[in-house]
Amino acid sequence: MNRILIALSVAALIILPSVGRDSVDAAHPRAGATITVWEDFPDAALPQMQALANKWAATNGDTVKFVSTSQPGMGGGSQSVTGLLQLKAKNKDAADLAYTTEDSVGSLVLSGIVAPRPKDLLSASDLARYQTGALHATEVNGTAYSVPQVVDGLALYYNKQFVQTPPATWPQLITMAKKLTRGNRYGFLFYITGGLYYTYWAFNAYGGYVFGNSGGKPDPANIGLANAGSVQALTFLKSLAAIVPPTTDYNAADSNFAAGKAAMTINGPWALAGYQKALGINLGAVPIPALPNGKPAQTFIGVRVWVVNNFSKNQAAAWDLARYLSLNGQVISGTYEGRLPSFKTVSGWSPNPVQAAFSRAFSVGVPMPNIPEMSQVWTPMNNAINLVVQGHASPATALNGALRQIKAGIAKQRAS
Amino acid sequence: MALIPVARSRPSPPSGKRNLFPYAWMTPAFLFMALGILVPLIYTIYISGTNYDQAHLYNYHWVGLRNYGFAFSSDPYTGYAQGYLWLFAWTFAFAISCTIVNICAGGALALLVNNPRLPGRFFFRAFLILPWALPFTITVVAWRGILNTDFGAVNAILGSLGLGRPDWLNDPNLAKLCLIAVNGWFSFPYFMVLILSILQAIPGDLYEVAEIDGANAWARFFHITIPSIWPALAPLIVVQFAFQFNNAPFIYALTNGQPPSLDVSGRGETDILGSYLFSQVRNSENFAQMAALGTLIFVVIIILSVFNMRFTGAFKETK
Repeated sequence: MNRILIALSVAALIILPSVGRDSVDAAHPRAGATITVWEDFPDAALPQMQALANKWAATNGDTVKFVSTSQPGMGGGSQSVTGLLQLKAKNKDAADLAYTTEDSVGSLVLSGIVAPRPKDLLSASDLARYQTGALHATEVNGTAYSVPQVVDGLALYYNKQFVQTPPATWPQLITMAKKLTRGNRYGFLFYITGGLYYTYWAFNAYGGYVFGNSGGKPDPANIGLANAGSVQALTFLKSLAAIVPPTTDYNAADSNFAAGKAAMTINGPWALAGYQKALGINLGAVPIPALPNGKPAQTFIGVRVWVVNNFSKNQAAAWDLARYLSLNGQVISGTYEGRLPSFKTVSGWSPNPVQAAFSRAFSVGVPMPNIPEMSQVWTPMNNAINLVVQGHASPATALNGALRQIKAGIAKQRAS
Repeated sequence: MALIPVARSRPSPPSGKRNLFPYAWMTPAFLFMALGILVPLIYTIYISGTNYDQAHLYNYHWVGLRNYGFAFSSDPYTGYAQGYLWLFAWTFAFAISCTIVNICAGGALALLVNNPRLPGRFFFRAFLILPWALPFTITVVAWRGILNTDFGAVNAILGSLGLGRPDWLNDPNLAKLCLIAVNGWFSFPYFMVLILSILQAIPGDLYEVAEIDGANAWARFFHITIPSIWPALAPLIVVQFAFQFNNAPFIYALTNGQPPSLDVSGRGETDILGSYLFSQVRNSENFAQMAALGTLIFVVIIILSVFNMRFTGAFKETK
């Protein structure tokens, strides 16, 4: 009898603490766990995020350790968070939770590196707070794999010292840029060698697209990057060589604009803090101007998301932390991360005029495809765009070559 | 008191027992070779039979000889044959051109600074070694800057003379020429020094006798200089070829294989086999396919090495 009592009380001790917690947590006892997080936060955001994570950890008796990609032993910044996951996900010291770009989640899913998001992690009222695009970006082929944190994309920055009324169309921009280019000052500079991400707005406006749509899902068999519209778009981009040197890289565009040596540039919200510091009240931003065919420029919308390592032993805790940081870290992200919150509205945070311009640009943006096949698109397209802009290939030749390379990449990805 | 030299004979190995001493000495070297070369080699061959790549990093499995099939296939989407053929062709062209340019440039300069009638030849000897003495990485980055289309010194000079601004490192053909030329810049001092020392070993009497016999400068060059330096130079040519064949760090540093090609293999126009393999592994995580290519390159290099050893007599027992 005594034995039965003891057995029952021991069983009760084991079972009772997990009763009443949600089912995600119940699966893993986790008091005192150390959650390793791989991230590439800007310096300003890291201490804020760490403080927030510590609050979460305090309620559970856990520890959260943020590890930046630039730290020694992490490749010194040469690897992205996704790259590190691909190389080291199975290591003992690998991340439980990782902060990465949504377009790279597809290939992580393919390799079985990230875990699907538990269905009940975000309640209906949680979900209702996110922008639709940000939520959509967490899904790969219909299954959610991540929790969104911030959104980013491109807009046109201008220096009010030179530009009183920002251009609304590209013909206006080109005329203004030519007038403003004097001596060592450029009217307009942008990361033209940056490839598809920095120029997708042109492809989209002329009728190009990455993947077609079939039944509400991206269709990797239907690639619109070599169609007539894409050829027109690339012809337009080549014509920009008249105002932008075709070898302009990110640093040339960025540093010249910050130094007041370029009157306008295209860049993302991550550059905002630096520009504001350098140019102060002279900084302005508007959505990228409409294309010569009258169509609006729609930027790619990227989403930064939290993913959980499929090989982690602390998955439930990691998901809980992701949810906590996403629901409570929107003000921090909006203020310190150089990106915009993924919530529709964030109490306690109001965008400054430049952020508001980005917000407007994003409201008409195009979600970046995140199916695994997307990983095969970037390099061929970036190469093709550079070949054409630098005058080494015609748009049609380059795009058809890129299309062949993309299809080859997808064929090889599928050969299992 | 006179010192009487004591004749000591070397202790002879104990008869009847095999002397294990030399093997003990070789063990550390052998272990390092095994760990550093043999194990990775076997692992590479193993990987080449799997589908270990970006899409199958943790769930790869055995696929047999499929990757070798891709290497020899001309399928428009999965066939690498055409790309590999270009890579092999350019790798050979690069290695052969570099070998010829480096040896000819080094040889010509060696002849020049060996000429007793050249004033200040000792100064030139020291001066011409400079490219060899400078750190490789810094010099190659400097060259990349010098050849930059928009900001480089070469185009600044050409532009000011109204000769246009060639796209040195972005044009597929010009970039190849630049690679060979800059490689010559790095390598000629080595050959100059080598050939100079060989030249100085040729007895001067030979030339005097030939001159008395009425041989002109060309005849002396072809009948005395060339035959005298050839036995020492020939093995170096083979070694130089093999070195340039694998000189991926140089390609990586100067052009990184760029400009891109539109080939499905994803090669760059200036990529040689080694640099292509490196960039595919590093940027595309195309491990299995590159392991197969690596194994194929290994076979080619084995053949070249056997040829080299025959040529230089490394297989012969020393007498």
